[in-house]
Amino acid sequence: MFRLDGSHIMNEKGWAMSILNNQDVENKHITVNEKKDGRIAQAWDIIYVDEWKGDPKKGELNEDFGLYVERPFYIVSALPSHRYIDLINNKNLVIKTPNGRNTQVWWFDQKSKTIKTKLNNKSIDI
Amino acid sequence: MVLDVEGNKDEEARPVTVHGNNGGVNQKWNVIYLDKAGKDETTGLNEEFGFDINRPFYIRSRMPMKRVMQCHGAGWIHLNTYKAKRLDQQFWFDEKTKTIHSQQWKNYAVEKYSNGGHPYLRATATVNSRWW
Repeated sequence: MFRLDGSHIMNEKGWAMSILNNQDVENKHITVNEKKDGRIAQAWDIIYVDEWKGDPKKGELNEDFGLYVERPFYIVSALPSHRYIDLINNKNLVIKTPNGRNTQVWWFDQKSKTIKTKLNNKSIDI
Repeated sequence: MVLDVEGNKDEEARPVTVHGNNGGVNQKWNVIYLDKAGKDETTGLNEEFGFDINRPFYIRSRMPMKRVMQCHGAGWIHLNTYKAKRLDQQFWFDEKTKTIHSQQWKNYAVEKYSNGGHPYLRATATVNSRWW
């Protein structure tokens, strides 16, 4: 038996449903083998089907990420010159004066939850 | 001596024995007269368990990708990307057994595998509101 305890789903032994190895990837097993702690891998939302809004569509705000879906944007530095983030050498990010190129235009991809460049639709990564 | 659920285990067909009083919850009982017994609720919130009864829901992770739990072939439960109207990603709470069931395989309940001896979660038809 499982009980909903805030954002945790607990069994009778006080163990919480969790994602195996804390990895937010496809087909990871769900486990019940750990005490409740502060890890987000143990945090769940119960969303009733009749209240599920579905993923935001193009032009709609993704509230979790704070970005509108597939709506192109610049990323502007708050430094005094307010330069834009620009993609150089097809891989590195720098700040540059606005130049109207697609290397300075970005968009949020709902499927991958990443920010992509309009130049070639590759995602920003570390 | 009092009536006692053997081994303090809340599972189907567990023997009831007579034992010295130890104050345990497995020795506590409520007598409910038929003329006072209500019918099982079929809708609304079960406040003890925190789920709405018989109302399908998703179990969505708060990890960044917001994936949901999904039953795989009426077996393991995995984390997967939400897909609209997939019943194997939907669950419901059964008031009678106090268990979470799959919406795709309605008689399959969520349990800890191997009688609670294995860490993985699965959906199975054999669960009987066991204590683990």
